[in-house]
Amino acid sequence: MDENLSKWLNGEITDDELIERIGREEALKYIQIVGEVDQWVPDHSQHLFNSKEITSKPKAKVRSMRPWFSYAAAAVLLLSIISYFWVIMSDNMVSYSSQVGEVRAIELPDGSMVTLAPNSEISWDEEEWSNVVAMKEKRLKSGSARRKLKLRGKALFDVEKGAPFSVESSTGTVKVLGTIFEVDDFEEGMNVICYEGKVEAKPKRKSKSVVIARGEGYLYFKGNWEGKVRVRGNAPEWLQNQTKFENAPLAQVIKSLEKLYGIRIEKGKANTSRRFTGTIPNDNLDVALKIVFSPFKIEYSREGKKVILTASN
Amino acid sequence: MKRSLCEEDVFHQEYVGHELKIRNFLFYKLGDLEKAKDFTQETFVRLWNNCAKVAIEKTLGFLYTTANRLFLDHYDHQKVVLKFEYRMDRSEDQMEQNPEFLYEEIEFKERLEAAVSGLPEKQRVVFLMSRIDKYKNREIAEIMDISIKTVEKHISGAVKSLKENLDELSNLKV
Repeated sequence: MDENLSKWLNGEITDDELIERIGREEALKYIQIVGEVDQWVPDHSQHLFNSKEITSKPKAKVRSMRPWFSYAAAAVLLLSIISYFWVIMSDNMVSYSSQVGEVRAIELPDGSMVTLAPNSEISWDEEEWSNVVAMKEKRLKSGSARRKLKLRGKALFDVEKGAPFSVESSTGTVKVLGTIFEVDDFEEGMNVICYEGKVEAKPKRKSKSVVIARGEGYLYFKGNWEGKVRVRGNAPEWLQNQTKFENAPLAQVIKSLEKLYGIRIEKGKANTSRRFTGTIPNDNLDVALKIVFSPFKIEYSREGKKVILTASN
Repeated sequence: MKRSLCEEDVFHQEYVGHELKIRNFLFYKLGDLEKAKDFTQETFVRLWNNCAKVAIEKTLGFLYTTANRLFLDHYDHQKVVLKFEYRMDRSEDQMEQNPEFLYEEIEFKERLEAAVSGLPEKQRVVFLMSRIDKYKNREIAEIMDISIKTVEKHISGAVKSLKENLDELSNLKV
């Protein structure tokens, strides 16, 4: 009977033959069902859009900046492994990074702005973004298009209206519901501050996300969201060559110091879970170290690019 | 000289030839005509971006693979609700051909649409590509990368479960 049905569906036997072979009632039902579907179409459009919309726009160009190739030999091995993975993830990755002590402004393909704090890096898939821009230019709905960025370090984002915008860091993902926000990604967590609009932040290892409104900041540290902090001003202090911390874990402050000045800090036995509140300069290491460590009575010594902490009890 | 998809007129020809079929394919999968349209555009944007890498005779394969990947990447477990319109070119004699209708004609289209929407995805897509887009079984087998036998099974399986579904409904009605 299956074979008869298939043959009939393939047009190898006629309706009458089907009736003869499988019985009138069955056959008539099949004829009615298939006869109905045969008359269907999803809609009457002849065309969906003009192919010129696609061919007229410039193609995605691959511009890759891999500043880490210039690093010291020991670092090159490690970093080239990282870049190797990036190549696998996508061959259209564009990336920008800032040097030690450098604040760098980058315009994204859609006109959004990213300001990188010193020693940070941002990257995106050029192909994905060119789709977003194309849709926007044609005033089309963004559909499946997404604006995704990857961040290492710290950056401020000023986001143009459009397709969903998100920043992925090693700790988690921050999705934009509004406009200006800062993400500081450090080893044990991330700090997200929103200056305008609204963002949603979701750590990788935790399902719970927080929605952060204008003038609020949230710290995610060692697996937990900590209460929100008020944010004063409408831009981070590092834009004015200083960096401000409010109840920040020492681990975060140390990471910032390392990035700002391109140094390594050996923590020794110092308790890095303690909190620091204050503002440090971005261009005077001696002053910065003193501001951070003296309240905790942490002694330190400098050996070139290395700072060694010795906790006093 | 060998022609390439990067030439606008070649691309346009391929586009015109396949746009609705790709849209339909995505519609059968998603059950959402607007989304299907968006994904179709995205699919062709990707074809254009890769025009140098895709041979003309492989266009259709690339389009379906890309469309399917987009679908998988954005699958959000929404319930599929398929609605159809009647073909403009449906002929009168096609309607008169049937000697009698065993299923009640009132709401027949709606009930059949619901039954089609409820089919397992593979069955649904293959069945509709065959009946609506008039693809040959061999072509569907190629596109979906399955055997012709499997295509036939999907189609007859779909028709049988549609009939069972409608029979059940009409029994309940009585």
